[in-house]
Amino acid sequence: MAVQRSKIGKPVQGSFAIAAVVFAAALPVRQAFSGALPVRPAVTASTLPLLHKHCASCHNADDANGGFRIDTLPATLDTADTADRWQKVLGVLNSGEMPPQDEPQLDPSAKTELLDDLAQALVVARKVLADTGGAITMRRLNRREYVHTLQELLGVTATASGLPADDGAGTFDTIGAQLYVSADQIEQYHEIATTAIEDAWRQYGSPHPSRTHRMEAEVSTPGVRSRLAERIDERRRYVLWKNAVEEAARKPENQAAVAEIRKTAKPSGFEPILQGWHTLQGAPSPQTFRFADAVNAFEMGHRDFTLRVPYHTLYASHPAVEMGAFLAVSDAKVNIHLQFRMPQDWPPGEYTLRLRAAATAESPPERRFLEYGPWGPEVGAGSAGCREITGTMQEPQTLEIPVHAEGGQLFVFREKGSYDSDAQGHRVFFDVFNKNGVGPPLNIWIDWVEIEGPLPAAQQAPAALAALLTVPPVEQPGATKASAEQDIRGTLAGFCLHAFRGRAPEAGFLDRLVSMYEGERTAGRSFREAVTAPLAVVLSSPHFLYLAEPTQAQQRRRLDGLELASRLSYFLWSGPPDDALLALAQSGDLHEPAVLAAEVDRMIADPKSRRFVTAFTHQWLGVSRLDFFQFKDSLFPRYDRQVKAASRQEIFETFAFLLRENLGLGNLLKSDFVVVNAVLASYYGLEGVHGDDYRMVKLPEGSPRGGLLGMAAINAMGSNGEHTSPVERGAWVLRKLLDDAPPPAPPNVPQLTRLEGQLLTTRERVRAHQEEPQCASCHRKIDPIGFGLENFDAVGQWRTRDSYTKPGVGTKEWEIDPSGALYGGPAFKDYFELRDLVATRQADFATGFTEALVSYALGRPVGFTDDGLVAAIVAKAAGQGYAVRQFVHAVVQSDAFRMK
Amino acid sequence: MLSDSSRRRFLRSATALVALPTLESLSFRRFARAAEPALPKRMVCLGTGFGVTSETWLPKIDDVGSAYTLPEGLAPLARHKSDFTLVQGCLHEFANDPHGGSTFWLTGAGPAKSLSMDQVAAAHLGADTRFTSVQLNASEPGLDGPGHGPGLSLAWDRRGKPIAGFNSPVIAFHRLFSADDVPLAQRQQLLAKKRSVLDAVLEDAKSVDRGLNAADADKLDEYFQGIRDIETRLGKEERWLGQPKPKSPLPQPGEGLVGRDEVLLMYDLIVAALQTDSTRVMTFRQPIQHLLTSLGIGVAAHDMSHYHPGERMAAAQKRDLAQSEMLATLIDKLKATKEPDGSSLFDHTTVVFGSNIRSIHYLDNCPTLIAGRGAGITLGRHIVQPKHTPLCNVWLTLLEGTGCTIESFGDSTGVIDALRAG
Repeated sequence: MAVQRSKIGKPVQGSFAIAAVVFAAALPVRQAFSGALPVRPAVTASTLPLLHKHCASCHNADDANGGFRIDTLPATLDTADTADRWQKVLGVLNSGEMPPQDEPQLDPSAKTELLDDLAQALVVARKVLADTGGAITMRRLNRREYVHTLQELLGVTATASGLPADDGAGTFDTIGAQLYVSADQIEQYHEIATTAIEDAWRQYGSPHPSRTHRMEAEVSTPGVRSRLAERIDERRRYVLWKNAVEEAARKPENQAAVAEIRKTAKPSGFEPILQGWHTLQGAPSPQTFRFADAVNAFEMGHRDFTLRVPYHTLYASHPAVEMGAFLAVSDAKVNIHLQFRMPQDWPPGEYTLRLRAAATAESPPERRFLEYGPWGPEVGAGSAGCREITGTMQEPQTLEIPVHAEGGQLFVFREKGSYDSDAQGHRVFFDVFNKNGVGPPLNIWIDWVEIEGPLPAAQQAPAALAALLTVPPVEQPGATKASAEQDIRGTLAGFCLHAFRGRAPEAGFLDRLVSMYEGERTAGRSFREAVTAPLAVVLSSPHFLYLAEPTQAQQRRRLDGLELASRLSYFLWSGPPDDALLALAQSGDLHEPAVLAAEVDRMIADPKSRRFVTAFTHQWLGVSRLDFFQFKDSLFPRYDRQVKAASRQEIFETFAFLLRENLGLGNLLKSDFVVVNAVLASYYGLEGVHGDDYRMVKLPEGSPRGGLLGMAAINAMGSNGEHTSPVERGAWVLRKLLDDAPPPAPPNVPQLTRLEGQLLTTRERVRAHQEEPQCASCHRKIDPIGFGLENFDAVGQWRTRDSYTKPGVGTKEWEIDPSGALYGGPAFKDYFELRDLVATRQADFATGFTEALVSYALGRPVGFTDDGLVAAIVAKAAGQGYAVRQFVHAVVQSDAFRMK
Repeated sequence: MLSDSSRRRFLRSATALVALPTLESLSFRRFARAAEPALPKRMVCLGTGFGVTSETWLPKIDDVGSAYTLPEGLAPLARHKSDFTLVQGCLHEFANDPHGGSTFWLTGAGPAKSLSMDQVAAAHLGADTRFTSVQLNASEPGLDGPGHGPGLSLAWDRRGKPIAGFNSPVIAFHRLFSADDVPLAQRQQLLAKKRSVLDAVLEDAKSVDRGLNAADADKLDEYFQGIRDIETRLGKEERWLGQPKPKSPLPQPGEGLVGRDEVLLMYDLIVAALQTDSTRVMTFRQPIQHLLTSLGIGVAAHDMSHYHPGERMAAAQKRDLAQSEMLATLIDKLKATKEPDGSSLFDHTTVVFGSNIRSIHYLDNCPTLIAGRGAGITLGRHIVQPKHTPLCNVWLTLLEGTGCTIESFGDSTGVIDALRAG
């Protein structure tokens, strides 16, 4: 039997044409790119003879089974057609379809090598065929950049959730060829811009005096006390009812009924006699004692009394509730969180949220964290955060939290890790209640909460908007019109100049804007209403949305000053150039290497560079995987929402620290410090770190932390939320740290079934991958690295033992064996030796990092044509000890960055 | 063949044409609508990303015909057994992403060149409805995590660009049914305003375009295409101006429904949209991770897709059952919804349920379930095609049955006779 039918050579889309477009860039560019490729993808010399031996008897000129000939297959994969034919060979070998079962099979180890060789050759071929030859496709602003750009222009944070997120394609959200525009999107841009302009009018339209609104936390105390009194009264009434029913049950005439009740009663905490009170003569109804029914009486008078009253009594009798409130835990049903509402009529703007708080002497260090956020189903996510409480009951502290808010906003405060989910809230309370019959000790106390603002400093409108604000919101009849309106054409042109990053609009466009404005004005709208329409058009037009770098000629040219300024600011700020940068662009000075370098340093020092750090690092290292699954609270109670958030932040903060201090990139492979805040230090067991800002902390001797491999989030990404995945971790290390990415997972490989139903260690299970050649060709490289990281559990905590439970089969426990060897390389006996080995590969790491950085900065995939560029950047940085900022400088100073 | 630049010129001129809706064409439309047969055909495609549990979802390969034993995973569909057909043996030869069950599912070739099958149907069926087609997505993020692969919905346009969808039942409900209580004159004014916005951005787009090289101009072409699409939509909106949106047969859905509830609600919206003839072509990229969570399954979606006997396979099977139950409900409702002539929606609708992934990493033998009498398909059968038959042959058969006159689709090699009734 041979392949059923052939599709080879048909004029339809081959997978390589697809790969080239999906993973890389537009076809026209590729067509434009000619000349010798720096790399010619080919299979090794031994591969073809081996295939000829096994396949040529059925796939030759006389007998081309399935229309497929092996004898004419070239060893060099330099055309899409050849690559497609090789992809077929790989496909049928992987799926086990070929050679047919009744024909001689390939020797397993030779097959492993062949598959390895072929998969690698195809990876290279894909990269070669996708090579854009250095051309950059014009790109639009991605969603982040769009929001930041509106922020710089209008001073408001737009909600752009209706736009596509643009990330997640496995590369960067700056790659022009992958950023599409659709009709829906154009409408979205217009809608978002309109809303943002209206928000800007509200926020900056007229000056707002700064005010303060305070809530004393003890306002909740009377409510707690009266509820407690009610519960005690419920108990009293319940006992009265219970006694009366029991008395009736003792009467002789009720004995038959009692026997019947006992016979039919279902086991529960609810006493059978009370359940069956209605069959007893003379027993009073629960309604007599003001309960809805028997169940209600039992729940109020017994269950809730037992579970709640001790804790409520503890709470209500604490002297500090006269002057403030404690944050209790969820299942305690008292002050689960403190709510604070901003007065309804306050304008949108920047405010300071302030509170006076303390932690009690009894509260353990890991429970002295306050979680806060705007009220909503996702409290704790998004803009919410977490603060360590270092104040004591004797000396409370005052915390200040900057917030963007507007009237009516409800804020909520609670203890960190006390209510990420119902299950967590339940566990936190009952873990302690089951031991002491009361509940956890009272930890965090709040004296008062207040909000102040809008802050005068933040009421300064951005320059683009300021010119429009000279016209008062409602014009008085007969009043002299303000200058902005008198010169509407000039006003709109001025706004365009800002929005188009220094480019003037064309006259025809301006004509349309002016007539749009006049149409609105004629229809009786105020200046602000009327000017909103043309402004929204400006913010939906291609000059705003695209980073256009016009060029007619095929040969490359130097960018002009404005183009360079935009490339630079969207690289390091994910936003538009500021006035200083534009001035240098217009004077031409920006082209001076020294000026350019000084600008890079200035921009990195600006807080806006955080946008680059977060977006780049997130995408480069694939951090989105952290959100693919839930980490089970029951298995990992300490990896709560805030710890997870902090562990993610650690990655960004560490990179930001290296960039700011210009330290070596190698610190990401191994370092004697971490960059953490109090939450994470507590998670890592590092003592003496207090406060919420991330800072460098020296590690004790022998710590497994220090470097990406020791980070909780990196290890958690290499899990499924429950168990570790040595395969994910190993592949990640190859991909991100060693610049040796394994080929993509192949389709149609037969699933391993030999080990079904067996209770095995992780290593035993994963090792099965190495039995089949289709799997072994990649897994022999991937898995050993993963084994070396097995001492980190699914949430990055250190462990020495592991276990696996198969429902219905049993549980197996074992001592972790982290030893292994890099494929074709040195052995390691444990994690520490593995990390040392990885740390020696600094040059490889730097190469992978540079490719990522170049790709992010230029907005295009990196191809083989970039080998020289990448090598030059790495060499430059190597001369400076691989200092992180040198990479950025080298990218910016490169021809590739400064040329279209 | 058109060169890049002449194709662009063609598109530009097409833009100019669309920008000028003529009275003649409007009245022609009305005439055409009056003359067309009363009951239109519809198509609904439901994509499940990570595939199914092969062992318990696919019938035995030799158990063909109408007396086949319904597999366990389809058991909840038993009451409809004579009203759907299962096709085995088909695949997309050129699909290559074992983690993306939806990217290539309806196109057969991926985003490089071709458009998706539903859009071919939409071009044919969508001219006279308020929405030419409607794309629905689960609210969970749809990228490499939950098994659908790249794309913004199941649909891809003629240029191989992903088409965006409504990402939650609430959004879909509002777009389909929320009343426009603005008076007519004001809406006409609004339309005129929208046109002037388009004119203005088009002016700017032209000025950007003047300086660009071929590759960049090709990129900007998306923007021109977008404007053209809005123009088409506005033209349509104008035609629909006098007619209020249909009253929704459903109450407004609540926010935040995910997983099973979300699918059921989307199914209700599908029925409602078809019933009110708001559109005739719909796709739905279904939730996977959220579905598992809503079924109380703790296994991560990707792990579930790599099932072995045990917890993961149980999860995969539980997912199958839930999906079959929900699909059975959808079919119930389509059958129960009557057309003016007493026939049911089901008699005029084609429902396709499936994925480009069979299960695990297998891209061969794509699970394919076809229900409804909209395309004149033989129902109640288990049909096994020769191994490696292009799935596009199935798509071609459905399109042909729906009345689209096309010679081929994707890599199709012909229609599947066994699917054609009579």
